[in-house]
Amino acid sequence: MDLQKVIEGCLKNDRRYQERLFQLYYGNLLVVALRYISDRDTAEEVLQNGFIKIFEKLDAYDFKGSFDGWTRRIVANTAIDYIRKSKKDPILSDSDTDFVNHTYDPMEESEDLQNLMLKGDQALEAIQKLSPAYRTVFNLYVIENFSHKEIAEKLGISEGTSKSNLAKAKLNLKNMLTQQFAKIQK
Amino acid sequence: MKSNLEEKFKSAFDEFELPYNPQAWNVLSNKLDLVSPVKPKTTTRFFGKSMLYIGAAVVTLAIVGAIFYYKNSEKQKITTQLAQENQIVESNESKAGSQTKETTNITANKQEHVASSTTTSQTVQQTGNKSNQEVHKTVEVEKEHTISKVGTGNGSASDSKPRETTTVIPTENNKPIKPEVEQIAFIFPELDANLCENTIISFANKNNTELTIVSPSGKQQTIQAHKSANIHLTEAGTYTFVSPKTKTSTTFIVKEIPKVDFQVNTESKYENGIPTTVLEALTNDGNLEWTIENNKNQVGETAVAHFYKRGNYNVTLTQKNSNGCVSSTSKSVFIEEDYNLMAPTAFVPNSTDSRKNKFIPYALTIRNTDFKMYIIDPHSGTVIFETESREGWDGYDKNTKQLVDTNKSFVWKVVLVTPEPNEQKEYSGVVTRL
Repeated sequence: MDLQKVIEGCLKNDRRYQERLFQLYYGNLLVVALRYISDRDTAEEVLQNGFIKIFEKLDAYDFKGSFDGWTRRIVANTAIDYIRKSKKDPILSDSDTDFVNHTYDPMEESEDLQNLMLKGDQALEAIQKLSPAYRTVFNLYVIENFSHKEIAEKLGISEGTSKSNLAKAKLNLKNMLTQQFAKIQK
Repeated sequence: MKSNLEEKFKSAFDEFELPYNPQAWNVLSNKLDLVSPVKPKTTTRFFGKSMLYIGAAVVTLAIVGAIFYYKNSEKQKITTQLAQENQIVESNESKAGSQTKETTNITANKQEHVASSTTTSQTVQQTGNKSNQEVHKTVEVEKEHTISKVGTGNGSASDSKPRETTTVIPTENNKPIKPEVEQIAFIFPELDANLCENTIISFANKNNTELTIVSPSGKQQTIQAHKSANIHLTEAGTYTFVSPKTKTSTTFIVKEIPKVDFQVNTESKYENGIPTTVLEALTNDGNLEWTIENNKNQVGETAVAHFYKRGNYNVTLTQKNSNGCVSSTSKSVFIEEDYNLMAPTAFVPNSTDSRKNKFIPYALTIRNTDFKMYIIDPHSGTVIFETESREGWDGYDKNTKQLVDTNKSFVWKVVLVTPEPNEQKEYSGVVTRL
């Protein structure tokens, strides 16, 4: 069943097509939700709400852009909305103190990790260990390709905070991967 | 350009997906039934088919009943009962109107105790008067026929999937009630436009239930149904409107206002003979505008103000940042003394020091304005000297042509031809001849 037909069926509010679309995108979009929200049940709930929005907004999809990207953005936005609502200002503030004595060196990473083949589940596990503030900025900048200016506007933070959170997220990830790499080497 | 680490993560997610969980669809399907029920059209179509099947079942039962009637008189009662039951079923189906396929299928697949199941209360009441045996039999017949017809029909894929949902609720008119999904309504002009911290917005809750506003730090404020409230947006970040009843929400961003501050530079008191206060901004995050005693006339990081009288003056610095948000701060600047053209209080006509042997208010020697100065004897009230020259008064009385007495004080008066904006035109004071 081609995608356009599925979408057209969904536009008619036909459950069969909605189920088909859900089957097609569940696995991919659940990863998107889990990239922002580490708790599986909560991520599933966010995904459900994301799908409801997808169905509601389908009439705005014009078949020109990437449908995959369109759905990912909706789920990512749903996840961000959830984070904003559920915790006390998690995006603006962060209490991580692990990085006080560290500086991020992008050259260093290439030496340590250039041979590491990062799998999806490893990447997801690592991202989920980040604090919400770092995780959100990392996702938006690295995976969703937003600029710092766009992230700042989206999250209501300054560009400086966005850059800082990204750097700290990367440093944290690098440390995690380095430890993982060391285990593999042993 | 993405770093090596970023590329690793980005590519790791390219093809990565988690296995499908069929249970997840059931949950979503139930949610969809609440927020977006299947259109009645589908139900009607199904119901049309159902009626066809039920009709066929009725005819079949009628034939069977007729055969039984002629062949077995003992079963006549049961046959009659069957016909009555079928009428009841038909009646119920008719009254059910647009009752969904889900409910019908549940009925068809239920075991014998349909009379106490989810079918309409009318069925329950009428069958409740019959013996258990009769009821069971009737239901079995109905069940067999219904299942048989459905099983051989060309129903859609979803038709074969009975769902135990209660999403369609029969009403008095037997029409499905669409579960109400409350829409959050609020008066909020230009949601996408700049909303800045520290502003007060009036919101009207037009809903039938309360509306909660959650600030970025988690502070909540509730607006009761059909009430309005002024909300002070004290924080920058994302605010959320939440409808506690429907669990729906929407968000808007309040942008940060600039931090604005300035200082008063007291190092320079006069510039070119004019009292001058230099104001310096301590922050620079956008456009700066100074308001000095209600006069908006200067922009930039520094401003100069001329205060001629002793007292407090109000200075406001307004700053507009790249977010388009504006904030301002005001300070009171205290001026310790009146400006009086920087005039000396004494002079020594006989001195060889040219700075002391003539009287002239110092400001007049450097200011860019013409003037007329008068020296008045305070005892007689007569003008003993007048000049428009920056040379000043040499101590001689123009009437007597004599130097005035020592240690005697005189009144001086200066009239400026072109005073500065907001400056008085006349000054006066006392000078003593030493």
